[in-house]
Order: sequence, then structure tokens, then C-alpha cells
Amino acid sequence: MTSVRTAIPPQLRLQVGRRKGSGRWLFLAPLIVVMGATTIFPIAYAGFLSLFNWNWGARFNFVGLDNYAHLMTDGVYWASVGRTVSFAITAVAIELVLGLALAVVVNRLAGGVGWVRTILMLPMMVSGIVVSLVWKIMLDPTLGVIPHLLGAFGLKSVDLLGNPHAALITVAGIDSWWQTGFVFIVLSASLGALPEECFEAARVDGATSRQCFWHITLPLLRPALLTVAAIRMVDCLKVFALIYGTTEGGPQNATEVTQILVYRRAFKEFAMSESMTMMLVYSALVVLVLATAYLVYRKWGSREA
Amino acid sequence: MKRKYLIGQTARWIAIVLALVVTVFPFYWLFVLSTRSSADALDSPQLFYVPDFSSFATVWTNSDFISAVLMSAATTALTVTLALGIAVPAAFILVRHRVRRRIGLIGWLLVAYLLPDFLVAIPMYAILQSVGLYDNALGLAIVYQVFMAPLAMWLLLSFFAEVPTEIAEAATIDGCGDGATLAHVYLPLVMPGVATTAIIIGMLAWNEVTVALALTIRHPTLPIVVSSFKGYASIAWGQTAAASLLVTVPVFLFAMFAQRQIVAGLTAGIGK
Repeated sequence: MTSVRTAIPPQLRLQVGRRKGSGRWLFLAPLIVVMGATTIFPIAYAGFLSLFNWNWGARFNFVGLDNYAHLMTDGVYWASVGRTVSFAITAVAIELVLGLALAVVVNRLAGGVGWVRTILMLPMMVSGIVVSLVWKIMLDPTLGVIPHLLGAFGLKSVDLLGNPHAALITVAGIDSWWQTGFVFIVLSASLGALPEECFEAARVDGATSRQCFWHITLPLLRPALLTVAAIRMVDCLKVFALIYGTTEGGPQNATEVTQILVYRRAFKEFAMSESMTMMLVYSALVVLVLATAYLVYRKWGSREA
Repeated sequence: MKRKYLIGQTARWIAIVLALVVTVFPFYWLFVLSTRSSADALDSPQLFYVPDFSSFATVWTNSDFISAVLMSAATTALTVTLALGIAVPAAFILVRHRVRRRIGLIGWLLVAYLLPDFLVAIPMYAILQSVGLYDNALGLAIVYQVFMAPLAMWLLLSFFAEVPTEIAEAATIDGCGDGATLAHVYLPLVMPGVATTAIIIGMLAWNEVTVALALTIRHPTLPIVVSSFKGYASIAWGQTAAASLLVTVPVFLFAMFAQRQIVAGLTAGIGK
């Protein structure tokens, strides 16, 4: 053993000795401390509050799991969860289809298209509140430019945000205007990196461009598609600014997604314990569903790829 | 064959032009609204008019707006500094070494990114008030880390992984510890990646709405000041539009110079 030790140059020996140390944790400590402060601390505090009936007032009685029991039968809450999910599915579906279509079309354009990319990237750099205000103004039923333009086609007094049946889909459409550029940029980069040989081989075998798309492009893009879909899904399940700036949950609660409901309960009606219970249950659901989806994909989905 | 190609190209250009018009129109309309004189503001929309920039002057001379510019700038700078300060060393260690509970740490970051804003913001409302960081740029920057730090880690892990292991090993053999390897080997090589991360995080912090709405009251950030216009009727559209443009234009100017970094950041770590 000693002979081997002396054979190692001194600098390296020092290094081997240092590796056993805990110096590495120093590099990770700031991350762990800050993440602890911004996740474990608030969740624990929320969990604590959810066991009381605190309304910012003096009343601070322990109520056990009553808040959770009430939540299970709270129709307003579950309706808001359902709305959030349908908003997210609608928006993500539109964004994926449009983003993929744009990526494919731009990829096949002849000539330099850098400026097309630049323009398509603009909306996602805008604050959600600006996006919601400009669309709210443009969709205003009396003075908005969109009903005005539609009037030229004989459509009178279209009020997309004021109609309970149309409002949620309209907001999903606004989200698509905002975020399709992100899907486009990601898929466009993936598309540009696909191996050209696959397409050449297919063409030699007589495949049409449609067959190439369905049987080569789409399967090869699957990892990028799934990743971008997951990112958009997570962001849409947290939707707040777009709806806060347009409808604030109306008309007739048609766009009252969970975070809008919680904002109202916590900051307008001061039901702190109740709103914390809502957020905890909602977060647990989101984490559970997405983790299950991921595990299912890991187990079965990736096999064919 | 040539004819089919031309038809295909024409169809594609028509689709692209349509997409570009839909993309650009809201920006054009913001400009129109912000430059119509307030006397016209209640008229039905018109395409031709004499531009009037008084709305910008009104917004710009509003002291609330100026203090919001300062607040947003401070919050953005602090958010970027904090996120890089905690994520750069951590991402380096995770790429360079086999760390125990690595999967657990990454899972924790993913779950943190999933958490809806108010789950964190409402408890933080109480906590920040008790430590004097409520309504404060540093307080906002700390709370933002719940989703900024995971995002920074995601981006930096993929940029750091591109550094060839041999270079880092050579540094180790030459006697560099982890700190020296990070400072003298990794950072110079991944500077563009660090810049990209800073740009993406800065943009998100500048634009952030939900947490800032919950955690500020007398010192709101720019997006919150803009959102306060939403209650007004159409008479204030000119100012709403001017304020919206003033929030947006700095990001666009910045993006013009940093477009390549932004694209690199948006596509980092996603299967290509």
C-alpha cells in the first residue's frame, strides 16, 4: 500500500484526500438553503394554517382537518380545478399544433428566414399582464378593434370575453398567441437537428412528404414535443396573469381557474386558512398527476421510440 | 416538379404572412392606441390619424411609474444575481461529481417549479412581513427563486454538461480544487451559457405578475402598475397602451442584441 501511495504525484494525492471531504456540499448549500426557504418553509406554514380557521382576525381556532373535509364537497373549488385543466388542455393543444405547423413550414421555406423567427418570438417576451390588457382592449365589445373588423363581415356585437360559453376558450386562444412562439422555437431547433439521411432514405424508397412527416418527423420529434408539452402544461396549470388581466374569473365564474379563486378568497375575502387548503390540495394533485404521467411514460411510452 | 415547388412555396408564404400579421397586430394596435389623442379615444377604431405622443408623457411623468421602473430594475438585478449565485456552483458540482441524492435534489427542483405561485406567495406574505422584506425588491427576488433557481439549474446543467470531462480532469491533475476548476476552467468556457441563463431569468423577473401582486403594496413593480390601469374605462386606453409599450420595449431592445442567447436558452436541455 505504501509503495503505491508514494507512486502517486503529490498534487494528485492531495486531491484524493480532499475528495473525501465535505467541500462539495458548500457548493450545494446556497441552493439547498434558498430552496428550503422558498419551498419547505411556505408549504409547512400553509399546512399549519390549513388546520385553523384564520381570517387575519383574532380567531385562530384549531379545526383539525375540517378545512379539508369541507373542500372535498366544495363545488366552487372543484369547478375551478376542472376549468384550469380544460384551459390548460385547450391552450397546450392549440400551441402544439400551431407551433409544430409553423416549425415545419418555416423549415421548408427557401431563403433566409431569421427575421421570421425573430418576429414569431416577440409575443413570449411580453409580460402576461400586457398581453391580457391588449387583448382585452382589442376584444372590447363596443370600442374594440376586433368586433369592429368583424362588423365588416356582418357580425354584430361579438363579445368573446363577455360570453360565458366563449370566455375560457378565448383566454386559451390569447395564451396561444402569447406562447406558440416558444413551442415554435424549440421544435424548429429540433427539426433543424434531425438527421437528413432518414429523409433521403425514405425519399429513395418513394415516400411522399406527408408519409415522411407522420412516420419520420413526428417520431423523431417526440422527445422535444413531450418536453415542450410538459413545460407548457405546467405553466398553464399555474395560469393567473392572463385571466386576472382580462376577465378576473367572470363572466359568471366562467374563467375562474384555481389560482384566481384562491386570490379572491385570500386577498379579497381574507379566508387565509381555506385558501391555503385549496392551494395545498391543488399542488398535491398537480404533482401527483404529472409524476404519474412521467412514470407511465418512462415505463411504457419510451419503449417504442 | 418546379411548378409544384412554386405552389408549395407560395402556400407556405401565405401561411407565414398570416401568422406574422396575427403576431404583430396587437403590437401595432398598442402603438395606435397610445398615439391617438384622448379626444379620438372614444371614437370607433380608425386606421389613419395624426399621432399624438402625450399619453407617453403622461405615463412617464407619473411618479408611481418612475418608482416602479426603479423597483422592477432592482428586483430583476437581484433575482438574476441570486439565481446565478446559487445555481452556478450547484450545477457545476452536479455535473462534475457523482453527488449522493442527486436524483432527490433534481426531483425537489422539479416539484418546486410545479408549485402554483400562491402556495408560496401567501405564506411568504406573512413571513416576509415579519422579517421586514415585504414590499421590497430583495424579498421578491428571494421568493422568485422558487421557480427561477430550478430554471437556472435546468439551463446551466445542460450548458455545463457540454464542457468535455477531459479538460476538468486535466485541471484536477494539475492540482485545481473544485473552486479553481469552476473559476478558471468552467466559467470561461460556459460564459455564453451563463449569459443566456441570466437573460432568460431577467426577462421572466421583469415580466412577473402573480408573486409581485401578492407581495408588494406601496412599491409595486412595472407589471403591477400596468395592471392597475385595467379598472379604468376606455378613456384611459391611451395611457394603458403607452404604459404597456414602455414595459415591453426595453425587453425587445434587449432581445434584438441577445436573440441568439435567448434561442439557446429556450432550446437548452430539450431533446433535439
